[in-house]
Formats: sequence, structure tokens, C-alpha cells
Amino acid sequence: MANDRERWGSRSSFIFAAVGAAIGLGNVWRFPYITYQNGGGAFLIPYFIALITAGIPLMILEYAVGQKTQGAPPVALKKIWKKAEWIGWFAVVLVFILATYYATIMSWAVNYFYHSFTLAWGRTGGEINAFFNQALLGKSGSPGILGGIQWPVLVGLAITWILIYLALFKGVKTLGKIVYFTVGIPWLILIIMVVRGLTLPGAVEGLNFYLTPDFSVLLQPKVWLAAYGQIFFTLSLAMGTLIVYASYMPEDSDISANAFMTSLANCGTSFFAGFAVFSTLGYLAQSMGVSVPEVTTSGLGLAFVTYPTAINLLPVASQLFGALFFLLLLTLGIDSAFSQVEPVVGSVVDKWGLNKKWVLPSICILGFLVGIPYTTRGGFYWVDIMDHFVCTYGLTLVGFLECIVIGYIFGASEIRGYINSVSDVRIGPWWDVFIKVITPIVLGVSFVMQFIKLVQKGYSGYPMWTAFTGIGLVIVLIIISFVFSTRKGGNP
Amino acid sequence: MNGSAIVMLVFAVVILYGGLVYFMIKAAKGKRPKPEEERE
Repeated sequence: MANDRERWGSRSSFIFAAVGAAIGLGNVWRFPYITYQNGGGAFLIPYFIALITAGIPLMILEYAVGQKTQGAPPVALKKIWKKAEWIGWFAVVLVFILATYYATIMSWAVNYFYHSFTLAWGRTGGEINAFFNQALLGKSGSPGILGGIQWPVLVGLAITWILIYLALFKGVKTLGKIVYFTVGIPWLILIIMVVRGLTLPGAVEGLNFYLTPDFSVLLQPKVWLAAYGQIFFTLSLAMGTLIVYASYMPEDSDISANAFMTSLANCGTSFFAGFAVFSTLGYLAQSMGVSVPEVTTSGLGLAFVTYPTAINLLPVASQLFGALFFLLLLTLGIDSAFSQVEPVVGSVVDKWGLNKKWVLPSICILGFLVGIPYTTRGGFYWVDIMDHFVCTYGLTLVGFLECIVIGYIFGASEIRGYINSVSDVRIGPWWDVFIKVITPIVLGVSFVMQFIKLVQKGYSGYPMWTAFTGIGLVIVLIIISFVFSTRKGGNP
Repeated sequence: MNGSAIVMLVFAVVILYGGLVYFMIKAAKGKRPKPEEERE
């Protein structure tokens, strides 16, 4: 049966696809913003520690599980331990929800790409803010008021799902070729943006803010939680993506070297993207006569409000750079979006033996339909709320459970033996310690601390009922996962 | 750039890009056959 499974065309295709899955908005938009919010250069220290203690060990674990079992997450975890199938389904339903709101963010990028040719977002900061919040999103003022559909966002959402479908329908061999472009184009545009940013007046001030450490913030737990959250988000951990990608590799393919290269390439991309963002913010600060911390607005605002402002202020070729930047966001987002859809499709095909030709369009249509509420006037708030509950609670829980199942039930040393038997780079007993002790403790503490904070204060100033809705969603997804795991499978 | 920023820059470059190059070389020198070679 394993011989009938789809295969990557080459090892480099797999590496590019895995890097592509990990490189996304998390690198270009989220990493610089989180870094800015958590002390600039000082954030890099917990970030590297999170990479070493959770990012790389979990990535090795997920590659090993996918490759050894040759199955999508539910089937893979069932082969590890019969009772663990629901954990795989939990990862799959979480990533499906994630894909639906992620596609909505891509639909904003589609609209900005279209408007970049005429710089239709306006000239002043106020105009750009109004363009994003009112003209494009028509924000209702509260998550409780959905309002009507914003048609340009809906059209952008449809285009996004069509692009995801086109990227996936030919199978993983074609996907391997597509990712050469979807990973390559963002890097090319990033290089242009970094060179442009570094040559702007005031860029040095932005870089000083980006790189100068402030060790006092290391005593704040939220900085460490932010670092671990960023590593999970950016490396696509606990989403099932890495398991399903690795399952398309032959059982004797390298694991550890691939994991080290993928994770370092991803974080290297984030670090590089920081130069484009902070040098431009330095220029923007000088142009506006304010300090760098005063330039940025909110997380989403950094990309969709501040950047158009910076693009307007460029001395030449504003339209060109505007189009390039939003093409960058679009290609990065599409790259990650189809990596979120593939585990869903792969899991359904593996479990029930259905034809991928029918499963893929069905999942894409379902994803589009589920995403429609995000295109309403209240949709912006729900993207924010869903992102918080899926990433902070859902993914952390999946990562924690994976460590427990592999570390204590299957045996960390046993799977390490398999990893070392196929890998160019041998890993030592340190990996067992991380999987069995350090990573689950860090994730468990993170989960509990976030939950206590949620119960006390709610989430981000939204009404308390939105927090209960988010918790309810996670519980419903766990129930759905159990139901899926108890359903009888077909003949894959 | 100030001195602290330059130190952080060097540190990050060594960890990220130095680490990436190190593992690329290790993988390239690996004695086990690569999957694509096996299929050929």
C-alpha cells in the first residue's frame, strides 16, 4: 500500500514545500510585530531558546511520525497508539478552521494587490486607516454585529480558494514544483524590499530598535509565551502539515537534517524580513517626526495600514513597490494556505479511501463557505478571536499531547532509534529529554497561564461572551475529533 | 548602528545562517544515499 502513496519528486521538493509551509505571514508580518512588541533585540534570545527547546524537537518528532507511519495525522497517530487517532483529527479540524480565516487575510492581500497599481488606499495616514477599516472591511465596531457582506473581501476570498485548489489538484509532485516559485518569489521580493529599506534615510534608527537588546523584559512571562507562540505559528507545528508532508517521503529518507535545515531556514527568513520592516519603520518614523515605537498601530495594522503609508512615502516607484509588497504577502499566504488544506484532504482520503479528485474541491468549497462570515463587517474581530483560540489553546494542546503519546506511550528512544537509522545527522538522548520533559512542561505552563489570564480578563478587550465562544469552539472541535476517530474507515 | 545592535546581529547570523550552512554541509556529506538517487 505504501508504494501506491504519492511521492515528492525529490528531497529538495520536500524541503522547499516544508519551508514553504513554515514561511508565511508569520515571518513577514507577525515576527517583526511580535519582536517590536516584546523589547526589540531582547526578544531574539527567548525566540532562539524556543526554537531549540520546542521548535526543532517537535519538528523532528512530526517528520518522524509522518514518515514512519506513511499516513496523514489521524492514521499516523493511530498507528502509534490506537487511542490517539482523535489527536490527529483534532490537529486536522484545527488547521481547517485556521485555513478558513487565513484565507480571509489573503483576501485582504488580494484587494491590496489590486489597489496597489493606483495607490487607491490614499495618501495620508488617516486616509489609509480609513481605507482599511472602512472602505475595505467596513468594520462594525463589535464582534456581536456582523453587518452585511463586504463584497470585495468575498471576491478576494473566492480568488484565494481557487488559487489554493489550482496549487493542489495536480498532487504533491506538481506541488513540489510550485513551491520553487512560491518560496523563491517571496525571497526575491524580500531582498528587493530589504535593499530598498536599508537605503532609506532613518533606516538605522529602525535597525537599532530591532536589534538593541533590552534584558529587563526577559523577566516578563509574556515575552517567553510570545516567543513559544511565534515558534509554533511560524514552523506550522501541531497543525498536521509536517506529518502529512513527511508521509509523502519514502520511509528511509533523512529526518533530522531536514528538520534542522527547515527550521533554521524559516527563522532565518523571519530575521531577514525584520530588516525590511524595521528599516522602513525607521524611515517612516523620521518622515512623521515620531519615534519608532510610535509608528505602528495594531498587529494587522502593521501590514495593511503602516506599510501602505511607508510605500506612499518612497521617493520613487511607489506603485511598483506597493505591488511587489502585496504580491509578497499573497505568495507567502498562498504557500501556507495550501499547506493547511493538504492535511485535511490527506486525512479524509487516508481514512475513508475517497478519491482526492472529489475530496479536494469539496474541502475548498466548504472552506470558502465557512469563511463567508469573516467577510462581513464584523468579520475582522472574528478573525482575531479565532486566531487566538486556535493558536494559543488548540495548537498548544496538540503539541503537548503529541509529546505525551510519543514520549511515554510509544517511547521517545524507540522513535529516536528510527530517526538515527535514516538520518545524516544523529540526534542524542537530549531529544528524549526535550520530548518527555522540557517541551510538555513549557507548553503545559503556557496553556495554563494563558487560560488563567483569559478567565480573569477575557481576550483583548472583547466582551466576555466571545471568550466563552472561543472555549466552546475548542471543546466542540475536540468532540468532532472523537466522533471522526470512532467512524469506521474505508479502504485507502 | 550601535555596538549592542551589532553584537546581536552577529549572534543571530551565526546561530541562524551559520547553523543552516553547517547542517547543509552535514547533509551533503552524509554517506547514506538520497531518496532521488535511490529511485534512479
